[in-house]
Amino acid sequence: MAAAVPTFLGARRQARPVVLNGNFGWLHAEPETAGGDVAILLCPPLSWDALHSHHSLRRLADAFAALGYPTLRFNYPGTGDSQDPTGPDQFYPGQDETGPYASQIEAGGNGDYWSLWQDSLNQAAVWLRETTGARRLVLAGVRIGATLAALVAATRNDVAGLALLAPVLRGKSYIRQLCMEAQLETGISVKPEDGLDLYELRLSPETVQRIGTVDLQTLRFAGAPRVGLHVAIFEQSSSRLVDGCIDAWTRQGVSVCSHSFDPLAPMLQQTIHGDTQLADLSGLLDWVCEIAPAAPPANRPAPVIDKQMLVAADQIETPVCFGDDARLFGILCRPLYQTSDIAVVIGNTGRDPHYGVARFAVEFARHLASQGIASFRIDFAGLGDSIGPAGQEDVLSPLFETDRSADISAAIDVLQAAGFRRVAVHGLCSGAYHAFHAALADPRVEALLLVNFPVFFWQPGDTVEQLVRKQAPPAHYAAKLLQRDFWARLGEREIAFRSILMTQFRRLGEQAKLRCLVVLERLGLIQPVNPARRAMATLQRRGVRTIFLFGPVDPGIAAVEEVFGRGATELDAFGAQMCIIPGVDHHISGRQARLATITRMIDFINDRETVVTDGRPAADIIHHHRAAVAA
Amino acid sequence: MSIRATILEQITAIARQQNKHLVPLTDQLHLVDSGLDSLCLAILVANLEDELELDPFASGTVAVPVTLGDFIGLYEAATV
Repeated sequence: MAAAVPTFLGARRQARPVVLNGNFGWLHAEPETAGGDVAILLCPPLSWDALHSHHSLRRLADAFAALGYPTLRFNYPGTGDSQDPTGPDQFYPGQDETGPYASQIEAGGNGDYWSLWQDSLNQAAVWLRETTGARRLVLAGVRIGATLAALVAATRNDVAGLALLAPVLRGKSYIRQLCMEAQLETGISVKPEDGLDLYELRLSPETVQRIGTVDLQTLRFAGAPRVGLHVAIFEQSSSRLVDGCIDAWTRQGVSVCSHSFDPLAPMLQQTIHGDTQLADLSGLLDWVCEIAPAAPPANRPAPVIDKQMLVAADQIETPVCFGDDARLFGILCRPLYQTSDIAVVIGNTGRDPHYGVARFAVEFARHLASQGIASFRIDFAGLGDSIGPAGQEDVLSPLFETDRSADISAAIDVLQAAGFRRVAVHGLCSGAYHAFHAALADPRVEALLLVNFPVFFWQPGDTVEQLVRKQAPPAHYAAKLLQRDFWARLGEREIAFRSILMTQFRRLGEQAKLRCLVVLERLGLIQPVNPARRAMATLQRRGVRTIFLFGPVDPGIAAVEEVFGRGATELDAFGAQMCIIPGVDHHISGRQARLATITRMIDFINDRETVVTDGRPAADIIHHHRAAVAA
Repeated sequence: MSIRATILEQITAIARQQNKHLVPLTDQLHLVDSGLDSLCLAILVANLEDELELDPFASGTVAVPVTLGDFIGLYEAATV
């Protein structure tokens, strides 16, 4: 009989943030039972896979908890909100010299993540058993998290089940994927023997080499024959590698079955567009209920420590549930040596969890702390680890349509209660949009740090696709006309030519009208008529300092230039500025780009000038890059 | 199954898994216009290594081809 997927039982009733050995996580358990004889350890994937699967794993943990399985989901060292096993010469000066992994880093010389991640899984397994009283574990991993789960499960004798969701079966292929991704992102050829620097991952050549040698077909289970160990492979497509694993593991006495990953496929899909189809978790839940039925704990669980903190050399980070019914979640990052009474609220980007693409929010928060500035990185309602409104707890809330002002105001309440008198708000892309509107709604906001700001106002019925189309300059479509397959696709009605044409005409018409109004405004004949100019005037009257930061080819530049002229030079009149940072892409995926952006924002907070634009006006840099891209 | 068929099958499967809208696949199609993003292309190369045991990019000196036809040709040439 199929297990009904339980819905969320109530705000924060069954999930609590935990910190284990410097790693951040969530323990999901029914408050009445607290423990269970079988506990579930969720092993997340990395990078994009981790961002995309975050919501599904939260739902999965809730569902397991409701079925009587205490469930832990957590971030490996150097991922999500966990501490960074990096030395003093790395990104954060002085960070983690005394952290929990200091000895391993020293011993490894370069921070061998592959070993650290497996160690952290083993430590989490021990912690989970001690905390919940469980005697047996089921490990469930996604993509490379499944690989880690398999490697760890093979060494333990307390694992009853192993669920591998779209697993990486050969490390070599995964490394090839990451190298190819890095090459496509940077345009520079990436060789595994040089190590890998992609998004938040910074893997040494040795780590890359170790991952590359993993082949789960050769996995040896300790104590084989392992009768009683059940493995389910939820495969994306049948392959000889899956068959090889099933053969090899069955020979070791393991009970292995395979299922289609298709019902779970939304787990790994990007969630930016429209309504999101939820992953169907029932097959996985059924399988676990069958091979390891939930039971009350045989051992007395150890109490969970209430106050959980991540402590590093520069900062103390505290998970905080806040807002109405404590439905919102964030991590308050306080510097050990506070030098400013301003604190920065950092909201979600897109529908990604609060730590952000390439962990930008975490890097920003910890860099702020190293400069003596506090921050509060939060999830908006219905995103990441914050719960949506009643009846929509499991629904990912929309990108732009939902007003986030109340969430940001609730975060400001937390900061003011913690003693911070001044508040800045930062956002990237849609996060910048929400930061802007929160500043209009809440007079406590003193500064805005808007990165790759996409649009001033979102109209009902607008779509992300329309936004991208509108912001593409006419030259973009002129260049398309020269492509061979454009005309073929046009003929096959693959391209909505009429719609594109109308959008571009509308845009040109709006620009012409706005130019006329700006002239009248400058002559003092009218007050600002354009809503964006009116909004900026409101912020200026309130003394809000605003900086718009963009990568050179970001489509959001068009939104600002459309209202404030070429190079957005008219922003000066509103006490705001636009700054173009070379090398920054829309996600700020490159390490140097992230550092440059963070540096610029900290200097803005401290009212310092940074030269990051080669000393040239923004308009010149934009023009230069557009010309380069066109060429 | 031929290399071409394997590649086309993988592209279709990845697009479905990643919820991407594919345009009709022709040899002249620019990969960047196919509907696949960089993550999908990276997964494609990784999957093809598993399926075909071929990795024409292993040397680190081969650039990603512009069109689908060139991409298929690269893999077909790697078997020779």
